[in-house]
Amino acid sequence: MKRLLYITFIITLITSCEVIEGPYMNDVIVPVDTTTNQFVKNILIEDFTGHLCKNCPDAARELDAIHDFYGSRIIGLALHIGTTFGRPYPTDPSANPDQKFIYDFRTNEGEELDNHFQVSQNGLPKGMVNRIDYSSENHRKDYGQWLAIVGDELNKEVQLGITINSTFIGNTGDINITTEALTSLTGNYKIVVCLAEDQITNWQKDGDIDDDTYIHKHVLRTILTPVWGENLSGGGSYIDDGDIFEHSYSINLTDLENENIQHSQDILVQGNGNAGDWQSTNMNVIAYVYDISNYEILQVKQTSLIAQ
Amino acid sequence: MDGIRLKYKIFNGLRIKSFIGKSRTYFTYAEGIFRGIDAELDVNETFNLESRTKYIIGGSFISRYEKRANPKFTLPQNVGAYAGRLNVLNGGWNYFGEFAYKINDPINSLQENEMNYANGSAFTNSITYSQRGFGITGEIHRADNMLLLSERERTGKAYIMNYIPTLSKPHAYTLLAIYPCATQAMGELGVQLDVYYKINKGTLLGGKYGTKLNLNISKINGLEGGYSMLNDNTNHIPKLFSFDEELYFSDINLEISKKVNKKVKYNAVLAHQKYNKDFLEGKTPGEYGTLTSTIAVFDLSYKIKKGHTIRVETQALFAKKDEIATSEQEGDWVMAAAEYTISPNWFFAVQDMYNYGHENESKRLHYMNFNFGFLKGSTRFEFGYGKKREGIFCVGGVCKLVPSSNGLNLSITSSF
Repeated sequence: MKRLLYITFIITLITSCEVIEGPYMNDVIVPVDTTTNQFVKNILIEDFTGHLCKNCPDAARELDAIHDFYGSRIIGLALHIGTTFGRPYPTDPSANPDQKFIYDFRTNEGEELDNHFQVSQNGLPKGMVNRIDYSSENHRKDYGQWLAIVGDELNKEVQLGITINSTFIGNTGDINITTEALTSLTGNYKIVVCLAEDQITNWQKDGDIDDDTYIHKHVLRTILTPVWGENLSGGGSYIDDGDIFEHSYSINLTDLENENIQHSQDILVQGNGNAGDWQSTNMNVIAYVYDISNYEILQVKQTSLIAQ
Repeated sequence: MDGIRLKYKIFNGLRIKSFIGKSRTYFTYAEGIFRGIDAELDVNETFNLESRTKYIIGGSFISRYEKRANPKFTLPQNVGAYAGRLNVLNGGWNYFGEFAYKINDPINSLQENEMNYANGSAFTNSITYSQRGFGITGEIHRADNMLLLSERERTGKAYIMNYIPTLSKPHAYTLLAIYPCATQAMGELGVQLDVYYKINKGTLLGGKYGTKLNLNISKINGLEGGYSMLNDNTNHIPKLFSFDEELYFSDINLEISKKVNKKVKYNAVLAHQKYNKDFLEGKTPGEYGTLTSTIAVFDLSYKIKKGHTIRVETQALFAKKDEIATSEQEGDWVMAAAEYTISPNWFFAVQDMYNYGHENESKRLHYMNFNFGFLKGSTRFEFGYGKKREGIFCVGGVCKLVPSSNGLNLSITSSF
């Protein structure tokens, strides 16, 4: 009997080895069909990062690659956090003649999220994909895990549809968000609205290189709602299929930018106040709804702050 | 690892071990399911050979299953790795060789340059000759793309499944081990020579009790052009042997142990080490460069009376800065320690490490430590207070950076 068991085991092992022959890349790309349904399930990848983190660009490139493959259904948000990887270098030319890494990408909101989700404590780069697995404390994901989770998340039922309408002139504007329930839901949900900036060229440690031409994407600048959001629905914990919720925000970008500079100057460890120079033309509004019982994001939507 | 393990002796001299299970990572399990088998054949025992030469042959195979989840690249669900080993013993000679191979094991990414379908390989060969009062060991090992993780997507030491021993002498003295070498499973080639010699007692250098000498030389460098890489755009296989690549670590050291008389004995070590801090600690090239240090250790024991021994240890490390280094260097160190042992139960120790050569004067710190302990049976209680430096802490060839700390520690170790 033992011998039989062994023979079975050896046969299983021999067949347990797959040698892959090239070409390794498949050219089957299935485009997302949005014609039959106005809303599709989108995914938010929160990439916790820092300009002094040499392995973080690998995660950013993976996020880009996932976005390139799945298109606008993948929304990235880069949170520069912590002192180890996020602090700016001193601006004193005698100590830092090349003026490397003097920008402070950090934000009050990013730090609060990091404190809660304890991401930087566990080493960077790490990210959250729709914040899944918070209940089992497995919400901090290595970037190698993102792709598989995205595949699973995209197949989930779309429960909410979010529409963002931004009217922005000069440095002020209004953002109106409409959220429509596409199914009935029971629970408590919050809506969070963020501003993120693309195409910021600034220093980044990238492997063995200090790169001053690195392009930082979808950098969190501020959160317009409280960090943990506002109630999606005005009353009760039951949302009916077809319910519609409206949220509006009037913003002054200069005020928000100054608050961020002040926060860097006064509050952040080793902050230097060099946190301005926001470019409204590169800004996006990101709105997401999450379930407060497990922080899981049900739906997310992104649109540019200034209509293209 | 949690799972099932079976051991089976098929016939005299042939033993088989096998297992199936999942690897634990702290309080959860990694995704991969592992299956493995190992067979070892003692040729002499099996065939009843009376030969003076003893042969032991071994082989193993391991496979990791993890589901495929990549829409763009073909991933293997089953990644196999196998190894063969041979041990030949004849009188004072002992040869051991092992070769390991891993088939394509790409990570799960959508970026083409991250996808590596190259096979991994590693070998180690050592030959030893020993006779009374003399021993010599020559060793060579090489690893190329040989990191095997319990989950293909993960980073972090908790997921490393394979163990490749470090090819340098594991030093016990603090300043000799301040810059330790960790095996680079992704790519390294190393050689080591170890010579032991005991000068006979009654000779001029041997004295009344004889003198033990140990010379150890090791050198570890990278592979030509880096580790193997294979995807649709790249196909790189480094040369099998190339010793003039980037140096990771080298160590040449001589240790002399001598018992002077019934009360006094000493141990002296002189070493010259090179440590590629940028590479081994993942710094930007040019930040620290390669640290070159010369280290001297003198350890003297004096037996005051039966059961009472005092041991005094002095160490010094003289560092030479790499010209390309742009960051502040730690520079020179000295260390002194004294330990009083009342056998079999008590010990008291005090030690101070002083980084007097740090380029930044504010970091020229003393790392003072006081310890005392009590041994009772197989249980050891130790109480300590002091300041520990930041450093690389290695267990079993896997190293991590530990920040400096200051405080009390209590440890209780019990074997049962």
